[in-house]
Amino acid sequence: MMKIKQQNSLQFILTKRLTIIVALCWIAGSVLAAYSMYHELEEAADTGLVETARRGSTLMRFYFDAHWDGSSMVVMPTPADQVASTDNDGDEENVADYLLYQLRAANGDVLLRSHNAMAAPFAAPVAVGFYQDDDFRIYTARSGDGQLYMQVAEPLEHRHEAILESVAAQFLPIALLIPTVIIGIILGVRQGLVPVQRVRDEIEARGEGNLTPIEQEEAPEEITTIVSAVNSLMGKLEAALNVERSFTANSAHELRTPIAAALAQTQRLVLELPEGHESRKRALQTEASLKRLSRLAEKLLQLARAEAGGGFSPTGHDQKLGSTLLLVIDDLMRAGIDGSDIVYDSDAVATLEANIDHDAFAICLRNLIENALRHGAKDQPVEITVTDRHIIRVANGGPAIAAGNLDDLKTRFKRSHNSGDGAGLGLAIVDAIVRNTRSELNLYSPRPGKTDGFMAELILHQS
Amino acid sequence: MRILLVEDEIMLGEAVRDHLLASGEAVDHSENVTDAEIMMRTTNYDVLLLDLNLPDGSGLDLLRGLRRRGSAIPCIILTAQDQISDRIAGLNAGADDYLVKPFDLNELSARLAAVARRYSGNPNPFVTLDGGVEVDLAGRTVLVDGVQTDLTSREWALLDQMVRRPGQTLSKRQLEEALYEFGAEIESNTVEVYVSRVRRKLGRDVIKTVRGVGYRV
Repeated sequence: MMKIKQQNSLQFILTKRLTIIVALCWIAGSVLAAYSMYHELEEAADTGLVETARRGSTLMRFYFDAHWDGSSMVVMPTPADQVASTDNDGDEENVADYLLYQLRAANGDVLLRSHNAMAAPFAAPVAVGFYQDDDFRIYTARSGDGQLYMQVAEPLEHRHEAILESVAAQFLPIALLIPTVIIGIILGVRQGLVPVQRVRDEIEARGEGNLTPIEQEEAPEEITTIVSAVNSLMGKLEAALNVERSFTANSAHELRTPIAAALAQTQRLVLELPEGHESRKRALQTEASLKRLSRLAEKLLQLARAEAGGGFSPTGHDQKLGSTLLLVIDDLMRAGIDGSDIVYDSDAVATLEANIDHDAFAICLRNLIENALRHGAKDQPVEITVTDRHIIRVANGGPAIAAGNLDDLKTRFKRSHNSGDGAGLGLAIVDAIVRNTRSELNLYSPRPGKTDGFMAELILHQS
Repeated sequence: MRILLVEDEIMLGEAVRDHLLASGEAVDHSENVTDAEIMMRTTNYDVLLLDLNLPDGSGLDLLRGLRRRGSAIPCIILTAQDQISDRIAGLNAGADDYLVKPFDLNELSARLAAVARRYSGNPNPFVTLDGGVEVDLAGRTVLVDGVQTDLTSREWALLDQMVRRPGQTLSKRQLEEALYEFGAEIESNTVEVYVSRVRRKLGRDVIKTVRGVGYRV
């Protein structure tokens, strides 16, 4: 039997209801047919009784006249050619045995009987017509001269058996056909729902990274309205997301430039003030605050971008990311990181490939590497490893973090140490991007195979 | 070095300009694309510092236009656009480096020097001259027989111009252009005065005079 995925799926509901309806219709039809067949068989059997009685009465009269000795009852012999016959199933039976008959006088005496009839008279009165008791259906016919009565009896048990066999013969193929029909219904419903499932798959494939309209041609007429509504909703959603992304992008520019101006002016002030001047210390403090503000603004903007959604590759397919990772590392080195502080295998990095946008990927890696450099042991390099083309691990030495605190690190403004260095947003940003791009971020401390350190594992989504 | 700074944020532009001037560089400041194009047509700049979002156009388009016309002027982009895709676009347009705002002025100086060194054909910042003079272009220090000698910013700028092109004779006009921005008051014998001062501090053999042409190291 084919598997139907969900009990509340349209396919399951349609299959169940159609099966029940078809089965009930078949049962009702079969009951009606059985009822009709019962009456037809009753009628046919009665006709048989009448014909037998009418035709047999003349013959029985001749036989009676030839063999009656004036006192004892005549008993018909068993017909030699009817002793053993074979029915359709191959079983031997006496095909005439089920009919019993008696030739009776008008006063009710039994003058002649068939070999299988009892000697006592039938319960039926000596009058033309049908009579039925608990055991027999009897028809009485008058002989040709009108003086004797021929009574033919059929056991009701035989008649009922015949009717039951006929009805059973009708129901058996139906019972066998029902599973076949259920399979047929499932296949038919499944085939019929293919366009609906295609639309469902199209909708499922949509997400923050893919809000393109669903092709209307794919949709069956019945759900065109739904598809139109979904397309309209996605259009509005995309517009809203674009506004949000545009806002964060503009905010980046609008915020960074004045901070840059303030920082540059402050740095000039520091350089222009002579050593030992009372304002120099304040200028240095202002410079430090502006640098901290700059880092915080950068992280908040990254978080805003990450939470605005998106992050998949623009094509919706995997794209090469090795050069982007190298650019991030190069950028960090230009910012003053010693090249020997980061260790990686260029060949493995070149294999990197996943369904993620270059900017989102760069933000993830920059944050992971910055965290490792900031919190890791200064005498050990940060190790970046790439496996299976889409799994990146960034590991650093240093004291291990308590297991209970690991997941908390993904929370905003949560730091592993209370040093206050860093905004406490790096892993929250990575976590937001990971959620948007159906990727996975796992944190380990101590590093696998070591007794200390920390490792972030990024399993990127592949299309 | 003669530097063109294209930056529309006045406070930032002034701070950068003042910082570079204090380092002995000659800096011209433009706040838009149009002025920048005019200035580049009339002056040979050693480095272009370029913002991207300018009031009358995109800095990236300006850079692409320069590269299309065959200009090889070193360019450092200064921008608030921090995405890696922006950086890739900038580098693909022909930028030599990319500095995201806000940046440290000392980092800007270091990157300027690195880019200038790459273009001079000698990325090694340590240069040895005649007379036991060792110059560290990155650290902006000069040693004479192992002893550090202090130079003023103008003296350093003059030496820096010649050290970047060892063996090449630079004309007086070339040196003036490298030492002074637009509007600066230049005496007719300014270059001779600074050459003389450098010779006094580092020794007479360091800078050679090519009569009727200019100077070289």
